[in-house]
Amino acid sequence: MWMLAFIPDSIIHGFVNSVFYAGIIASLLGFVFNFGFLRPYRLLVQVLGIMLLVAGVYFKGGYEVEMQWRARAAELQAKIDAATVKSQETNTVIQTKVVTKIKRVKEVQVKLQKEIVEKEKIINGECVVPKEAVEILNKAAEGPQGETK
Amino acid sequence: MRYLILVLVLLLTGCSTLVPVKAPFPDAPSELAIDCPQLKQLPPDTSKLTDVVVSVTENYSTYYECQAKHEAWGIWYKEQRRIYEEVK
Repeated sequence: MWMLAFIPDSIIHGFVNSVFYAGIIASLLGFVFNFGFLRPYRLLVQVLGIMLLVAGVYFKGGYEVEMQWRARAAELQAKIDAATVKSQETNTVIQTKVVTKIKRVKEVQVKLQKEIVEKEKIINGECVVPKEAVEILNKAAEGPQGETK
Repeated sequence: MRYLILVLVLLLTGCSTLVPVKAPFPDAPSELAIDCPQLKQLPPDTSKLTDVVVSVTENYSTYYECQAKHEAWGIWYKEQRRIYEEVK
């Protein structure tokens, strides 16, 4: 059935209908309108009619199932396309939020640094930082050793 | 016999199911892909308290930047999951 995916709908539809209706016509000719010049070929027409009819019904069923799958695939593809667009929109919103937040954090950082410069004398006036305090702070900033990635 | 095998193989293709629809994995915002930086350390000869305060405030800022990214990852995951579940 997967090979049908490569054939255009109209060709499949035309072929299936041709076989199906040819089967109906041949069956009618063989079983119902069994007269005149057809009489010597009655059995042949009947067999041919039944074969075409069975094949036609089979193909029609297969065609309908194929079309149902194609419709479902198209529906799913449309949903996925919509989801992709939605996903990108969400990304834009999140990106904007993060950038705004980070910008805000940096603004606060700049403001605080200005404040530190302004109050430098007060801050440094009564305190000298011992070397040990610097070492401890650096260790804390370094984080845990032997991290696993 | 060869023709029979060929016919059987062709008939077996009817058992295969074609799945032409693929849902691509969503991309995350580029800002979130940037790793959080290392915290700033002080030069060993630091003696001024202001240098310590500057370093500490910078590290706080780094933390808040990372927190913003971490929160955004959470939101991104929840939203993408919701969108994915709507497709089913």
